[in-house]
Amino acid sequence: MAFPNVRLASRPLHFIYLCDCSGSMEAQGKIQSLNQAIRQSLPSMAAVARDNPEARVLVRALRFADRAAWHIATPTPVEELHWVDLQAGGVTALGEALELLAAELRSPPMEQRALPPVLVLISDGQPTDDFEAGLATLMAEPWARKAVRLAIAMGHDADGEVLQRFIGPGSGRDLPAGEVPGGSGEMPRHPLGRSPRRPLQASNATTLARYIQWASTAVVGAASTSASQIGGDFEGGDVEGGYNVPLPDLPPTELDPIDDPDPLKW
Amino acid sequence: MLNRWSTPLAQSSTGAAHRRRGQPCQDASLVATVTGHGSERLTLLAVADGHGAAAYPHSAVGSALACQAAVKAVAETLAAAGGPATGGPAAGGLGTGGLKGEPERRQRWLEHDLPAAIRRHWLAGVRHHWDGQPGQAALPFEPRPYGTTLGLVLLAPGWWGHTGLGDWDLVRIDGGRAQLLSEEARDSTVGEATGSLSQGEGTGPAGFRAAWWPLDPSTAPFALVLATDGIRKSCASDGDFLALATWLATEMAPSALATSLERISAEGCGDDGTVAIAHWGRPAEDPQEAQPAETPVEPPASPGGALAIPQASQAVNAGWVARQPVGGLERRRALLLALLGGLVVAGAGALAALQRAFHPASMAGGDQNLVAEEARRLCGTMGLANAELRNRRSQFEGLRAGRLQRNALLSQAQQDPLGALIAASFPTPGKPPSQGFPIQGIRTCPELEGSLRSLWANPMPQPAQTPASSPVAPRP
Repeated sequence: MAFPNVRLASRPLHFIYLCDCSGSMEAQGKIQSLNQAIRQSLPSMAAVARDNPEARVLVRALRFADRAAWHIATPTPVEELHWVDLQAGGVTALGEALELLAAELRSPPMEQRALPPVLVLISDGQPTDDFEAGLATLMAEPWARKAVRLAIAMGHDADGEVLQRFIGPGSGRDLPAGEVPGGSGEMPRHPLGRSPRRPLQASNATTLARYIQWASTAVVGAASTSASQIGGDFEGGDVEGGYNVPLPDLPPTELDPIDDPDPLKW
Repeated sequence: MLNRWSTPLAQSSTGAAHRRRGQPCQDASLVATVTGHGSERLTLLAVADGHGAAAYPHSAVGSALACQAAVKAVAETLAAAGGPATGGPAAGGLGTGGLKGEPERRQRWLEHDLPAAIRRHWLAGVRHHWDGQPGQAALPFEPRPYGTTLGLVLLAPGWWGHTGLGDWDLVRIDGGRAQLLSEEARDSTVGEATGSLSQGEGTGPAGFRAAWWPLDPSTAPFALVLATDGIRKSCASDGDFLALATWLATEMAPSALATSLERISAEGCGDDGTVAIAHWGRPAEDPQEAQPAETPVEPPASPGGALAIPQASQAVNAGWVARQPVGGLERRRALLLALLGGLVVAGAGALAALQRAFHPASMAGGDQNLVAEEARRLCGTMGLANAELRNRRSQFEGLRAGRLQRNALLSQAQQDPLGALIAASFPTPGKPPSQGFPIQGIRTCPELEGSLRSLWANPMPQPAQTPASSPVAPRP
């Protein structure tokens, strides 16, 4: 008997940018750098999606300034995505952005069989609205708790504590900044105090582009191949450093001695 | 009591993503019949899914050992039940005939005693494997690298039941109606979390879900489909999963199971896939189709003898797949049922043909409205629409290759309006894709028509090539 008329389908992988478009992003070309970094990363992201046909990578973007709004509201297959430049101006309504995000992470519209989504928060400042309320709304959603949450700080004015709270607590396997790898007797997965479970510090356009590229390729690849694990292991923080999805190594930046230093700009 | 279970079937297949990455199949499955010292006889179907994350490098071994541990634990119980003087956990019998067993004892056995025995045998097996690894014997034993789920269905003449832990699914099909009987409660915080045999060390089995149902000769025919999570996650919705399970149990030729599993993975989530199927009161079996199940499969090699079937259970069938006899009375009843069923099917077919004659497009007005509504929806969200259309690769390719019938899709517009829309746009063979437009009078938008034309003009590549699947028996 012929195969039945049932819908077999790859699993959706939602990748969502949360972009700070406050007025400070206008300074020193930060918003242009962000637009450029995201646009440049799309072909590589599409290639990763093609290499992992069992996952359907769908991209969205949320901007926040005086108010938060969807910049790309429809989950768009990465190969069809045309990046329209973000414009900067206003304050930093991050709390409202998190509430908007929370509404989209409910089931429905989120598909029950989706892969853990990837959420990338990029900011250069401090929230000017009720961040706590927004974060609480977001984290009340199971899909937000399952998500891979990353944060990129553009420049040194970004509120690291806020970004860390968005990411969640770090794993015990990550070394504090400045600690020598191997000093504890165990080689950490992400050396030199850097960890994707901490805000990634981008001090110039080159570093920002590397982090965006890493999130949109290496992390998407890892999330596309998400594999089963024991729930208790995750809660205990023992699997893959306690990450929901095993995160790949970070790209080299000017913080690494092996890398060509770029001048600090932001 | 007459045994009305017919030949069960089980198969595991390496997932398309695993093949592409050179990873082994981490699923395992088996069918075995275990006979006790007395008249008690149980057939068991086991499916296991080794955890895929990097923290579980031996999960393929763990899943195979889980299936073997289940056989050993059941055999152990039956051996104890056959000799009441032993005072074993199931002393007095499980009541496989449905007459002498106590419901409370059976439930306790499925919930506690059997899981404990399975875990004990599984731990012994993985410990043996651990000790056999070069340089590992000196390290403290750790079962977690072998982490696996285990789903088990037990078939007796007078009852059937299930037990196990993890993200397997159990579907029961009664008269074409499918019902999800057992699934793992969703963990709200971890994306791909599941229960594991490696959990609960020192505290006994945790997280097992178990139930049983009585049977008697008048119980209407039904089928059971036990599947690892790779099957359900490959389906766009739970409705599709239930429809697929129904097809697997009631329409698929057993010889087609391996290729079906490969297709499900290649067009779905890419994970390994395992299915075990059992039928109660099935009218008749096509001897040719049943041939693969009749062929005894070599018992899985035991790792260093740690899980060899013990002396106490020598009555385990030599073959892992045992064919159950069907009595003469049953065969006559089956033939009568088949004849009646045939008449009903023939009548329905004639009616459908008549309807088609009045509706050459095989789509009634109401259905046409549904398809038009679907077209409007897609035109409103073309970004998503293109993804949804590409997601229907199986329907595009099935229509193109003749595996799917256009009229069949059109007639199911209520259940699958997008499938009907795709079928409606199917170009006439031998003519260019533009011949299918406008789509049977359905108003669409230029973007949607363009996407459909493009998809018909350019065959969609398969995500992965899928060579032969793994055998029924679990790997050592």
